[in-house]
Amino acid sequence: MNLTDIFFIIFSLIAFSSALLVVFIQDLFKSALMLVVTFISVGGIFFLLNAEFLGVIQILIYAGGIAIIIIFGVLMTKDMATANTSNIFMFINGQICLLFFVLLSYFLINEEWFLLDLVNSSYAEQAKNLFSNTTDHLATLLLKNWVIAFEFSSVLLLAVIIGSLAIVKDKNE
Amino acid sequence: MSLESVLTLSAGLFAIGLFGVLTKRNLIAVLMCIELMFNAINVAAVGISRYIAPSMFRIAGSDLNSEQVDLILSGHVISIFSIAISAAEVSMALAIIILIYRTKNTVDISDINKMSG
Amino acid sequence: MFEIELIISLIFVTPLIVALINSLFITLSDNTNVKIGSYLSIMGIFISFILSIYIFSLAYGDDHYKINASFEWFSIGNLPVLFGYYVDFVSASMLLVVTSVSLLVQIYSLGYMKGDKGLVRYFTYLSLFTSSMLGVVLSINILQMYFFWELVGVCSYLLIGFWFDRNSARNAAKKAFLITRIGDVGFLFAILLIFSNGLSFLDKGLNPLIIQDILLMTGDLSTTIIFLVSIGLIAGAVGKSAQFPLHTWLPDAMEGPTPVSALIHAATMVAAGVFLLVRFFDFISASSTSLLIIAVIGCTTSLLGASIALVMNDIKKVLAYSTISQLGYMFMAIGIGAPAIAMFHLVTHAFFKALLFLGAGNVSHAVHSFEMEKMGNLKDKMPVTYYTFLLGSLSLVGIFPLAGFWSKDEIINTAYQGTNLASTIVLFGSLIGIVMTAFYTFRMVFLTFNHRIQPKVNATIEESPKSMLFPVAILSVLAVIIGFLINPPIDLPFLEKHWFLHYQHHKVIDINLAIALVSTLLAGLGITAAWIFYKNRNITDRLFASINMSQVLHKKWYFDYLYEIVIVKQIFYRFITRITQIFDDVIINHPSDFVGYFAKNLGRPVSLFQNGSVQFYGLVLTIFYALVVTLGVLLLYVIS
Repeated sequence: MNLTDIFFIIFSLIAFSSALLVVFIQDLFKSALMLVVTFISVGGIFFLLNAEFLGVIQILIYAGGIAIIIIFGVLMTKDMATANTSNIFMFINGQICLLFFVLLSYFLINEEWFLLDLVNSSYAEQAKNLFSNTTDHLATLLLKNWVIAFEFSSVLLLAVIIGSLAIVKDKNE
Repeated sequence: MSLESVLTLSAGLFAIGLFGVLTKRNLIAVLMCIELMFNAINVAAVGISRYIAPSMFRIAGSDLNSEQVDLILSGHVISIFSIAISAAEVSMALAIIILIYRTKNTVDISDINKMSG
Repeated sequence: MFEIELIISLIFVTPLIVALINSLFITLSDNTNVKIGSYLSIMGIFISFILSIYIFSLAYGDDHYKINASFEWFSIGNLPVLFGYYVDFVSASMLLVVTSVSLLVQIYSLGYMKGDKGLVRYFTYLSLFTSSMLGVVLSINILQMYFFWELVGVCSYLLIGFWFDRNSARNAAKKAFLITRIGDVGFLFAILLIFSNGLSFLDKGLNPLIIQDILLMTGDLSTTIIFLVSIGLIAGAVGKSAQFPLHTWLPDAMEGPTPVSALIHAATMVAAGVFLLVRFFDFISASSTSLLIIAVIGCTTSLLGASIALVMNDIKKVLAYSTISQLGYMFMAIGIGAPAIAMFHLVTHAFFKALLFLGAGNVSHAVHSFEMEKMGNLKDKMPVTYYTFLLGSLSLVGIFPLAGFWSKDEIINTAYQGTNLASTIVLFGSLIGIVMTAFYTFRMVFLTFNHRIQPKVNATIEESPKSMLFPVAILSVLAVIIGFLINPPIDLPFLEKHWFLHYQHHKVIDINLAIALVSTLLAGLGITAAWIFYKNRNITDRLFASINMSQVLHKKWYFDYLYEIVIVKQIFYRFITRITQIFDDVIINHPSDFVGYFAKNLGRPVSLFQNGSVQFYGLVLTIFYALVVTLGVLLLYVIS
């Protein structure tokens, strides 16, 4: 068990527990804070998976941007301390989701994946090189192979800005 | 740390998010749980990208150029797009929630049941 | 050869084309074309008549005259179903009878139906009726025969219900159609039975649907099959020829116009049944039981019809029951194994019965009623009608040298010479029938024409127009001489000894003077009795009123009561429909109800899913997604 594994276990536990807290805490504001914790720990897991760039934008966008937006939304709620209640399907949902989790993880674990071989394959050297510096390669990939999708996502974001402004704008003004 | 553990983490986060989506009465809490599910998917995508070889590796075997090796990072690209889309989705959803709050003066899902047959 | 084929086809096709032209063009235009339509129809039938004479002259005296032609109508498997004609001497005689009577009836109709609004429709039906009867006569194929047989039924329906604005006419048409349909089921049954049992004869070159081939295969079929097929054919003939127990439609058919009655009774409809049995005689005679059945049916019908005719007050009803009775004679003739004599009687009967009906038409045309109560003393005012009617009546009764005498005498004579049970029954039945026939016929004559009886209604009574008298006159001549022509007792230069002599190996029967004398005496007895009773109107009415039997006769032996009240209302409505109702309920209704119930109750719980709660939708979606994924993965494991 090396350092990576230990960090992984720690981050996983934090992510799990904070996610559960998001769901089960009555106070909506605290659950929003727990969501930030989950985002940060997921970002940590990204670092452990050699995805530094993704880890950074996870923390920047999720923990920073999205969490702040959500907290803005939370502020609209009246009784914030008891706002995060559950509906009547809670126990059924719990069982179903547990079953879902069990099934999903069972199938994922039992599947025979075709794994990368970083030790004695022809591409091992290149792959190690890749994982040591993913950001460069990701930039190349994104602006070369996926550039059209990248441009479209920028259009999407622009449309969303305009759309959300149009929706929120008070018609009477 | 292995593919299985990462995928299990992802599945757990996804299940928790799903539970929240199905259970929470507050629209903003539902939105938060949707974000959780997005995160779970991102984790899975990055994990798969880290551990699993693209299908062309199986066919091509030994002679791979650097561009093909770069395709290992496709999972990262998908994550980036998913993050972008989730950011868009959050802003849209919040706008809609604000609109609902304005018109119905509530953000409780149980009160929004116009789709009743 | 081609010419003969063309001529025979034209006999059948001409009235059909006329009917088509009339129905398609003339009826659509206004009333000014009425004359064109009727003259066209008469022209058509006249052409048929002339051609029939030609065909008859070819066939006359030639025992082995057989001509047939056909084309393939359609085929069932490797069995070709032919559409064509088969003409032998019997068909040729029938052609002559049908076309001549039809021609005279149509000419008569010109006067009788004058001014009727549906005149063109009437002539169209008449042409179609004649054409379909010719189709029955000419058919080579039993299926084709059945087709025209049904067409005859349809036309009779149309003509009986010609005045469809009268309720009674509608009911009579329906009754005629439905009751003959009961017999036709038997005919159909016979066809199907022949078809299913005769397919094996294809190898021997015999087509199980061609009538002559059916006759040839008789020897190789089992007696049970022959008996069953014969019963089916007899049922068909009984329905069409209004024999007991399906005779009740014929008197009601009097609701149609009188010329139509003449046509139905003389040539077209009721003759079809007898013709069917004559055609299939070789087949039916292979089973002696069926012959006995025919004889018994004929005898029963003959006496039954004659007995009811004794008391009827409607002149057409008397004639109708008389027809039933005379058809019974034909059946009796077939029953004792003499189809040739049945044909003989059919021909003579056709002429004198048409004569009587047209005479009755003349009378009713003058009196505007069919009730004999309102007639009387017409002898002086309508002399032509009187004397022709008298000739027809004498012929019907069977007085010496008139047509009816010869044919009836041959029936009695053959029965007298026969030794089996059927002959005995027929002998006594026909002798009793003669007395009754004589009585009711002359009762009718006296009540209508006798100068001592004054009519209760005194309208201005005039003799009918010439167009109505002309056919009557021709028919009266025929009614006098036709029997003599067919079976001349002395040798004449241009005449055969007996028209139907060689048909069905019928042996020559010389006139038995004793039998002739007995029958004439019996007829005279009947006439005398009628004279005694009906010198005055009132005596006999009181006499009959004192006998309860009269009531039974007035009610027509309660057959209508039996059929309508007992069979239809009680047995059919109460019992059979109950069964079908249970069938409907259990087999039809319950499953279909169950389908609806099932769908409704399936929908009800499903509708609970649509409760408007988005999260509930999500839950359901998740469950089914999990199920699908699980099943899919399990399936993959199972396969691999």
